[in-house]
Amino acid sequence: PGDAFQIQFSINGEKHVVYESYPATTTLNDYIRDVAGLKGTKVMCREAGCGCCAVAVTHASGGDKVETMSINSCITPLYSVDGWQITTTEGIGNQKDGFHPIQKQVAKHNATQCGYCTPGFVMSMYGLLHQNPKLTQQEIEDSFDGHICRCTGYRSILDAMKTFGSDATGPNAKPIDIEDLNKHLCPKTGEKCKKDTKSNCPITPPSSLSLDLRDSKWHRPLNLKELGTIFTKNKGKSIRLVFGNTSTGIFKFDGPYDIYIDLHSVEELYQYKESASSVIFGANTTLTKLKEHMKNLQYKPGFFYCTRVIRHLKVLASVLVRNAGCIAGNLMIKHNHPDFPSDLFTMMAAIGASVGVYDTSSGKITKHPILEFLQKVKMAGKVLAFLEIPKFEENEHYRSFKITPRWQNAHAYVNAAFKIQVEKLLVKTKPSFVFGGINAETVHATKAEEFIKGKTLSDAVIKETLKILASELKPSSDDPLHASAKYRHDLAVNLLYKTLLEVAKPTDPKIRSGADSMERPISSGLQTFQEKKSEFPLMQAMPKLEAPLQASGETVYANDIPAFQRELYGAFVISTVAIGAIVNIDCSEALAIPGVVKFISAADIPEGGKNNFMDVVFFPTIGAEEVFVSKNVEYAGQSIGLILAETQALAELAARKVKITYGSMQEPIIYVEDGVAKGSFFEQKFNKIMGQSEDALKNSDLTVSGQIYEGGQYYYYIENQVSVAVPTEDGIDVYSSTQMPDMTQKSSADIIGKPLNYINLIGCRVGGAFGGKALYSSVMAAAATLGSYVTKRPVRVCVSMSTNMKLIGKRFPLIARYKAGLNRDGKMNSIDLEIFADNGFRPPIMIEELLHSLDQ
Amino acid sequence: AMATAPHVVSGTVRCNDQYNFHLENQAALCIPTDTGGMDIMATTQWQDTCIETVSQILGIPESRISVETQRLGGGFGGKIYYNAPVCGMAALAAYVTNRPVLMNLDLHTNMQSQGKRTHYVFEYQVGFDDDGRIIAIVATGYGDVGALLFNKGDEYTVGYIDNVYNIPNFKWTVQPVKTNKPVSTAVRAPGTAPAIYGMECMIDHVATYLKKDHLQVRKLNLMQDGDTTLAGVVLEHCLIKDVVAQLEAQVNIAQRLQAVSDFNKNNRWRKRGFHVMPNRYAMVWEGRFYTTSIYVNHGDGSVHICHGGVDMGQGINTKAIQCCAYKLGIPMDLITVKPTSTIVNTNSKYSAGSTTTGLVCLAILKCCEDLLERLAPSKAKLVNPSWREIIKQAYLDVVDLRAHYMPQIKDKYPSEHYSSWGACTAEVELDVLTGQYQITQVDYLNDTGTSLNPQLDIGQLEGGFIMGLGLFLTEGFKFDPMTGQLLTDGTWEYKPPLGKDLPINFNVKFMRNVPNPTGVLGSKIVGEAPVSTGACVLFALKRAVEAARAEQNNTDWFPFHAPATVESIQTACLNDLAQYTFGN
Repeated sequence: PGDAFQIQFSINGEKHVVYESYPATTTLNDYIRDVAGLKGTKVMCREAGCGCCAVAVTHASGGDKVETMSINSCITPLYSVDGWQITTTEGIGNQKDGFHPIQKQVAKHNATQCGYCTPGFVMSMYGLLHQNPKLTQQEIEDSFDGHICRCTGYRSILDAMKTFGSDATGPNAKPIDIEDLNKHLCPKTGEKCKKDTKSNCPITPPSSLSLDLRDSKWHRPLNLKELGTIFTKNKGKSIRLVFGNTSTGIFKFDGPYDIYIDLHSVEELYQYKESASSVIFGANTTLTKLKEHMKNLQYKPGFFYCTRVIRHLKVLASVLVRNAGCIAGNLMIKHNHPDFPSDLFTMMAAIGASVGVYDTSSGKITKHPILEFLQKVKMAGKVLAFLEIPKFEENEHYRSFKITPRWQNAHAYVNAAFKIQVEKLLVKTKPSFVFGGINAETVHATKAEEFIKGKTLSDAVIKETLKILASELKPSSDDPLHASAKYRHDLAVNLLYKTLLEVAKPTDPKIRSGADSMERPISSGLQTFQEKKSEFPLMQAMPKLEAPLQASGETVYANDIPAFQRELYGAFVISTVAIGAIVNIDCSEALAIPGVVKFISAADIPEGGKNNFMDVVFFPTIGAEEVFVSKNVEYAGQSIGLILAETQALAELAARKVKITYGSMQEPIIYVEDGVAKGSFFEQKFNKIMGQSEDALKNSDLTVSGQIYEGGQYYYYIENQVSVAVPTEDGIDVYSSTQMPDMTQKSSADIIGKPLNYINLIGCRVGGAFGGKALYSSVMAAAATLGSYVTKRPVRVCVSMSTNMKLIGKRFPLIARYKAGLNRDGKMNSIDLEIFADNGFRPPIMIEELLHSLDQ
Repeated sequence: AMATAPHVVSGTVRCNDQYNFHLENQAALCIPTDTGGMDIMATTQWQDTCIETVSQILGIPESRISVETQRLGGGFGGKIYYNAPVCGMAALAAYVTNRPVLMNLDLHTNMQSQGKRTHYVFEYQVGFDDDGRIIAIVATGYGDVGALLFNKGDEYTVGYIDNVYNIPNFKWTVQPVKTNKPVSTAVRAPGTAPAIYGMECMIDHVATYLKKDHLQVRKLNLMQDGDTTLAGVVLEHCLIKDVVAQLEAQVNIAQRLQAVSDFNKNNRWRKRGFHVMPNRYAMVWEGRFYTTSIYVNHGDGSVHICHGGVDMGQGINTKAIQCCAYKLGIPMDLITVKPTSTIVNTNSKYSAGSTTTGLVCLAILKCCEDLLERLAPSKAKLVNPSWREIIKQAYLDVVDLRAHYMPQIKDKYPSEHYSSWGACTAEVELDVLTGQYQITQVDYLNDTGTSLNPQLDIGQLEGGFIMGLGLFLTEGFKFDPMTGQLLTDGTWEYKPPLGKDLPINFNVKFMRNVPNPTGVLGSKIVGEAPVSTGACVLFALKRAVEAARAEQNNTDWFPFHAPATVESIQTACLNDLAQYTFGN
């Protein structure tokens, strides 16, 4: 830690000093990529959901023990890393100094394709091995819940990582050498500890910090008293308490705040206290730490239920988030957003936990049952101090669930936690039936709890309990993002049934099959192929030659190109309605933000320029599509303009402040069924006829008919669309993450009315594409080019994931109506098939491809 | 032959070294690539040497290194060899730090470390008859090549030492001399300009010795078709007599000489000098070639050219576009030239010797022919199509819209020698007491074949001539005698010509209707020839100095070394205090 006006930390052993020069919302990722210039650490979702930004951090906050773990750099505030050591993939190995064993194994197993997710996986593994060098293969396989890979299908990645398992066998097994973990990083210098000086080298205790970041202040108190003083001094100001900052992944646009208080150094918030009747965890206990504590607790009488809590904690967010986020953070999300299905809260409510709340004005800590904390305690001026979990009585049974659309890292449809004391089928006390995801109010199913208390479990009692539960649960249905009310309702009932089945242990195994949750064993796969030695190196199985470079983060993608002088960053302003005419665009608020330079739109296209990025010789049937909506919006998410600002964050902020007024709005047609029902058809229709299907149908023994639906799909490349337009002396150089340089060049030239040879289109290494960087790279490139042409400055358009998903077209949803005729053996004679494809608003280009593949 | 010659004179003259003085110093930006290679932007005339140097220093294959050069802020030969070490150093630094490294030499370092034009001392014996017809020459050029011998060390002087004169017996020896200085390097017209100057000194000596008119003696010895040059070329299309005759008529030499003579009679301390110098520049190909491609964009028919030449101001890009537009029959604004890159222009040689533009143009013509042939079937499908329509059709017909060509031995142009011919008159007025002078008028007539772009060619001629003035009059080096350090390593000590050093009246004219049968579209090279012609002014000054010496009744030949600085001119006037009178 440095003096009061700066922070110091190290990246890969190199010291960095940061003064009060960045906004409080600047992330560690911003700094690593844009200031330190280490582009091996990628960024995509900026919401801790994809993992490509993972880095390892080493610090001693939370006690005197220096620990290393991996976290999401994209949500970690820069000013929270004072005194930390950061390690990025370049720091653990590279082509010059030699690759790290993890990087080597990743390469060797062909665990990279586009390579954009790879550094994140590598750094996650690096952090995991620090936390436990003796991980089993199962533990390794469980630990990549924070990472998305769109290319490999994971098998090769998991195979590579599992070679580090303590139980790994076979030729590839690779126990990690302690040397490869830089075990003895000095918390002062970030360098390897020189052993001879170890005894003279105590850890520097943290100091308090007070930074003036102009728009806000950043404080780091050392204890609750200092914390209280900060609160007192800043009465009336908006205050944000910061720890892992992981909630910003979900609730992104809270703030801005006047005061940020980093709680990492508040010593009282790290306590851990076991007593005869309870265990107390300081509010700063990370979810990872909570899990570690419970690993020991679960063997202690009265705390056996911790095994179940651990199981549930493993599906709470991801390893990376659990390494950074703490108990208080999670519970405060629930407090601020009661409809949020917090797993921790659901569990703790059922368990009967309490929280300690520190009141900064009185300086006192009061204890509240967790339900009271949620429903009654106003938290303004207060800070969560601890969580206390009770020792269970004998025969108290605990079980909790998280039912999710994907096994890992997903919000629950419904989560539930049950505590029930049963002795020989008698429910001795009032149980706890706690549900999350039903609605903002529901915590306990109190009627069902009341009913079952004192009853002996029987078919009749179970039936009646479930009936009461079914009638008292009233799932909300106002959020289209939630699963249907019916599903959530039925699911909640079924989870109680599962629990009661487990408790009652019916003798009929057929019935008992409902009790267990699914357990996933370690996965494995066998790859079978033939090599042809005589033709080597052809027909030889070998990993990609750049694989080690992808693993070490040395491969350069479009957004890794260093900033050009006076570069501007672009953020799209996209339509928020599907059908409507633009009446007014008000960007006064956006442009008033210092550092926001310009808003460009269709009006800025110079004379001779074409507002169409789909003008392609190769696809003669293709319809026109505007780069910037000139008048009529055709879909929600369509690009209306581009904000240009000095930083990406400013551009994104300003883009949200542009106010568009629409007229002539109409209810949109969104689903293919609606389009069919309303006869919303393009003129184009594609027919393919072979034989005499109608006659054959008549002569068939059997006919079947039906209608099937197929949904759309997003590409989900880990690298979002990127275009960088750089004015040159005689044109514009456009760097693009495109699959289709030709059309990207054309759209760039067209929008400014210049010949094609005005544009040098440089196709960069692409971080995943899957067809999604063909047509739609052109809109990005055209927008960047226009921005660059208008401002005479380099312009980088690296769209956010949200804009990327909203703006671009996707795989088309289909409805297929079929009639098939077959003989008695099942041989098909005839198919009459009608397909309706949802093309979006403009005529299709790839639809004919369907016809080529229909007969499978 | 020397033994039987009626007259023999011998002498020693010096032609100094010269710094290229490109205003853009040597620079290289080296960016480590993600696959362990090096992307380089270098101010080089020879990208290949940069690649080879970096490959050797880093021990990585050449294919991992790429060099891009958009253009140079002047080259003048200094960036043929001397950019490679800068690339090497920057690449090593980039490799060691794993960060992009930009090395941009400061002027002093650049001048200290970079070799200069080879400094020559010519020792000669010339045998001739009473009229001044040269019978034999035995001459040696001692060339100061610096610390190492680079190349053969003769700098092709054999091709130029006889300039425009048919010398029946000629023994020419070049003796490289080792000195403790950077290895001398190419500076615009390397070897050429000193050699031509050397020859002019010899014939000047003959005329002075015989006390004959300098032009008449030169005219007696001029080459003609059928003569064989010292380099062994049998001359065809020799134009020198035509050029001299035309210039004589154009500037009315007899009248001018008379006027100078009258002036000198009437002025003791001001003297004028008038001189005529003919000049030949032999095109030497040396097997240079440049890989060149043209690409047509199907979307709008616009064209971009990627040629292997480096545009350092000579205007390759403009001429390339002119040729391309001419051959394809499309407007010039449809065509652009991209930076030279070793990725697409692999193996292109150094841009030098005035030949690059012609070779690039030749390649472009061939590319265009190739392309037009490929487009023909698509064109035939359309009625009266525009270029854009042809291209669109060809794209749909899956025609490769790129053409590539590299000039080769079988192309007659580069393998055949030809010469460009020129002649220049210069008149100066000298302040005998100070050595200061003014170049009052220069008339330069040059054979440029059919110029592809007369404006650019005149630019080359004028710029080359003034660079020659620097070589022969103002630029020179001084070294610390103990350490060998260059003392004249900046603008305060080293003096290229400025805007008031050019002739007060400077007329340039190209011969009309003289297409070059072996040049690209009838053109001739023009970049380097005029450097040697700068010596014409030196000889005009010598004539003025002779007039001053004549006042002392000293009419003997004397050596007049280059550079003829104000100091050396004044010293050569041999002023005698006894003559400093008021004329009473």
